[in-house]
Amino acid sequence: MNRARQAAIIGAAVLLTAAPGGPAGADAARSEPCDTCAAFDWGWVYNSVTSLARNSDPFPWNDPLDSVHVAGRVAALVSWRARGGISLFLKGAGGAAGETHASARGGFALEQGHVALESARFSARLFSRERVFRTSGRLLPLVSNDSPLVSGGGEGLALSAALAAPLRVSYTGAVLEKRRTAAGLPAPGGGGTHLNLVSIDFETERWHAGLVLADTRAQDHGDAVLIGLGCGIPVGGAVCIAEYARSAAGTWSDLGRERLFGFETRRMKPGSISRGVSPDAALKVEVLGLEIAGARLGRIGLVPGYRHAGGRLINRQGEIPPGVVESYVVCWWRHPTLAAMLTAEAADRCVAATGESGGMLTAALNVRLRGGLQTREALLFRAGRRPTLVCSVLDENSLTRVSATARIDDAGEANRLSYLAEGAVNLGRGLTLGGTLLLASSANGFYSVDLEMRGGKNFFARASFGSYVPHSEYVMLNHGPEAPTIEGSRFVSLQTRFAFGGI
Amino acid sequence: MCARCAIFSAAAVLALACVAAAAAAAATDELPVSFGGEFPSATARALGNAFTALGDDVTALLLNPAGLVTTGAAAFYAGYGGAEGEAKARDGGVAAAGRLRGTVFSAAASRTGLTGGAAAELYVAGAARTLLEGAAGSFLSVGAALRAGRLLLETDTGCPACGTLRRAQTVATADAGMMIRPLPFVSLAVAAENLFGRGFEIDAVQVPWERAVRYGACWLHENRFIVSWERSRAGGRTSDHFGFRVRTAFPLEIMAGMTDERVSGGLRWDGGAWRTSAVFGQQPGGGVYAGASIEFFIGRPERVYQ
Repeated sequence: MNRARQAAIIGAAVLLTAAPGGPAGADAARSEPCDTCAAFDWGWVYNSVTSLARNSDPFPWNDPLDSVHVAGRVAALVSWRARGGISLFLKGAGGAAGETHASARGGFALEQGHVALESARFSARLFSRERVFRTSGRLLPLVSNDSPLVSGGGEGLALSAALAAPLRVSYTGAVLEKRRTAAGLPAPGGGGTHLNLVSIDFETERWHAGLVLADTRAQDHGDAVLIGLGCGIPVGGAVCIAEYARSAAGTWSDLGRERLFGFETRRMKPGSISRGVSPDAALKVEVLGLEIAGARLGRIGLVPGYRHAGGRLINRQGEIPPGVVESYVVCWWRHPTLAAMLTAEAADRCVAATGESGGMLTAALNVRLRGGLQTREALLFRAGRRPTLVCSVLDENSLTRVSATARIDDAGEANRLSYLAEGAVNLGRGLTLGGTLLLASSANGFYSVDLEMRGGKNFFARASFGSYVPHSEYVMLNHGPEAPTIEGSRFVSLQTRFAFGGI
Repeated sequence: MCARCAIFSAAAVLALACVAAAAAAAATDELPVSFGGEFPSATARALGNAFTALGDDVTALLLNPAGLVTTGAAAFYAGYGGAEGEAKARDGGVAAAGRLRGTVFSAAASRTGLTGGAAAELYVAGAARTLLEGAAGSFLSVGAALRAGRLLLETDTGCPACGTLRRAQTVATADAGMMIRPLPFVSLAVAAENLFGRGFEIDAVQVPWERAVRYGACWLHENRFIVSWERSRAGGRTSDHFGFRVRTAFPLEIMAGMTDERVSGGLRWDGGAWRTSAVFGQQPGGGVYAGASIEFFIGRPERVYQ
């Protein structure tokens, strides 16, 4: 399972759990005594960002367009839950929508909300700009809240019904992108993009199967339809998961005009399976649970997989990058007593967008030592390129948190060294001092310093300055195919957040 | 610590050392544009040379002799490293210190090799003494050192029969420094290197050796982390140095620093009676320096605030 998908699943789980009216909220409501089943809560949040950015033009602090002096945003939240699983959540906000000078500023308007009815077997939700777009697909992210089409949110209706114990049918209809609105809600006949999503899932303890139908009606990008099928079948002690999706521009009749699934089995040969898969289709197969274990041996596992995403795949409501063909196998070994894991991944990958093609081998040793010290050593070999070495140390305790990552690209030739040190010290009373130092590809050095103060749930302030804005360099150095490219941007920033109420 | 944990930890240190060492390429030679600042210790390099107020090891003799008082009864240091880029060089050096009747005596020697036979050598001998000692580790110490710099040049005469012409010049000067810890977790220091400001002149070749003045402050939080800052001024140029070091659950220390926005860092394994480090640092003219060192101690004081 790739990292982005894991993050999306975790994020969705967190959202589901944390959202008012979500499973946790519903459970909590059900567990309360009857005379307190109706619950009302409220809150408001004020975010403020004051910052000054510096660019490399002749005047050092020359107030470029992207510098921000003050950007404030206020939001008010109301939540209400009644007996019978009925819930209401509204969030209105006004002010700057982002943290840049060019961010759209608007008056107070509805930003997010829902009215929901939930029971054990049925749920209905009338929503506005909520993260409700997802399917139960395990390998192919056919529908995603972070996709280009859906990320801006939308308004619509989500229905879900458990018809029988293993069978659940869901429907989501939404209006997205550039629609005419009235008071923050879509106006009748307002145009825009319409997404209709139907999913049918069978799930038992041993196997699962699912069907996804997505119908997109877009004035700007044209209509498109997508059908997705997936199943997970136990084979011996392992589980084989296979998912397939096919898209077409136009309507459902366009999808089935030739062959519904688009397979040409005659062209499929060992080593060139992708020739038999339609260029507007996606296929992913993975086998999980191939493991052997022994008292002295530890545990050894194998995860083979194949992924194909055709170059003409239309998946604007999901996150399947088109033009990727990959065969891979991941092998891992866990030490019987120590918290140590050795992972080796071999892949043969072809990515049309980047031109990446050829075999790659990644070997990594992750060790967690007594006291919480974690180390990671990794080697990355790619066909036609010099190897990459990565070494990382991470330590965290109640007083300090520090990590250091060294990475050498093109080892043995150019030896481009990248280094990232991140440290934070807990100064007590919610005060934390932190900083990062970054050397990018043996060439440029950057730093950042930040001071954070937290006053319980109600107050948060962060003052920071530096020569670059830290983002995700730690992940990119440890797991990225290339060292991050950093553009220096001197900045001074002060962020504050005030929150009141129970939400 | 169990043996297997120690093996894994040592493997981690070794791996990072290999990563750092691989970044250093073969050295070629150039004539030095200036003399001075040679052979800071591996720890000092990793902390971005923000070391004057720290005095963590015997190589304090080279940056602030007053810091020698923190080294214990006896200590020995050896280090080696190399760099690539415009300032291509390899350097190595040794230093030793011993305490006699309350005074710490120390000597150090280093050589920075420049291909083609040119080299910069440094010989330093000094002493430090604690003048005032307070409760819980606060003190005031002073130190002084005699420093001899030797520059060796080789020039091609153009005559096949004559070969190369080797010339050398030695210049002697002095250093002084003071360190005060008014509180056991705060350290302030000031030091001057090459008090006489003498340079080299061999025939028409002039190599300046500027007087350098350093002052800095350091915050030592128990045995857990240090944050250090230093400002140095040499030849009309002012540089700021920052560094931090965090001790992990293992006796493994993570170090990082910055000098004029050039990043440095490294790891140090503290085995009590011995320490070893693997460090790297961005070079002023581009490229990366990588080095390693080992230290041994006899009668090392308990590290409460260092």
